Amino acid sequence: MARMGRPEAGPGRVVIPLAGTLDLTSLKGLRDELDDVIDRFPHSDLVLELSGVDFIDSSGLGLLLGRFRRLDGLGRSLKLIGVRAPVEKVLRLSGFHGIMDVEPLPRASGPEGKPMGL
Amino acid sequence: MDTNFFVLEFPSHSQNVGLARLAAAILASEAGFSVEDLEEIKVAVSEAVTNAIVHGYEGRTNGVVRLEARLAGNRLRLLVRDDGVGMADVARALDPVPAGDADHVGLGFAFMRAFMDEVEVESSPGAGTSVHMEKVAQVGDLARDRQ
Repeated sequence: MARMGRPEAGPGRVVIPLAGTLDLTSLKGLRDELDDVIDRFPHSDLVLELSGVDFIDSSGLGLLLGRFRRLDGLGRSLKLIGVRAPVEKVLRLSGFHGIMDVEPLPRASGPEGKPMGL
Repeated sequence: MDTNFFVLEFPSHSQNVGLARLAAAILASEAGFSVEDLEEIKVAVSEAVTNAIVHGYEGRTNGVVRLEARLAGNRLRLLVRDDGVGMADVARALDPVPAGDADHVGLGFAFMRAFMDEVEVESSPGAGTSVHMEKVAQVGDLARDRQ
């Protein structure tokens, strides 16, 4: 299950924090919520802040890709920031780095090496 | 001979994908897999169980998904089984070349193959689907975590 935090609007972009797992459970609800924000800020690029996301699989990828395609069609960009290592690996394998900006979480923050969130 | 195992059966509810991931990861953690390996195993399980729910049972929540996990020393063997619709052409389903939005199945299998050492799929129409996956923990995996 994934939760969306409060969107933070800046000049030309809106930042949305996500938390939880981007898998089959998060699809429908989150898609509608994200589309709602895309509609509410019609001239803004979208930045998803993913430091709270500890898991993603192909279902989650499909969700992100769908938002990317929708924004791309509207001439707007999608950027992912604060991406944790296991999430970044899945994104990288899927070729996301080739189509959008993906910024990893800085190594200094967060207990990356610990087996948390099993 | 198995050093440990479990068999889990659960309804084809999306929330049970997380349950399956967690159970497999906990068993695997007994075998010397690194944190990175455990994350990969979680993705592989998530893909297989999601396929069972979404494609095997076509999104119905009244199907039963079975996860068998067996540990023999440093070798983890997983089986994800559904009694859903099954696939007529397994090879084509495994092909990761995207075909519109129906590429979900192919992408899921691509991750299973990337993250597990062996993946075998048995499926036929009306006879459900069985996905066998195997991963061996490498010596020194845990040491890599400390770097």
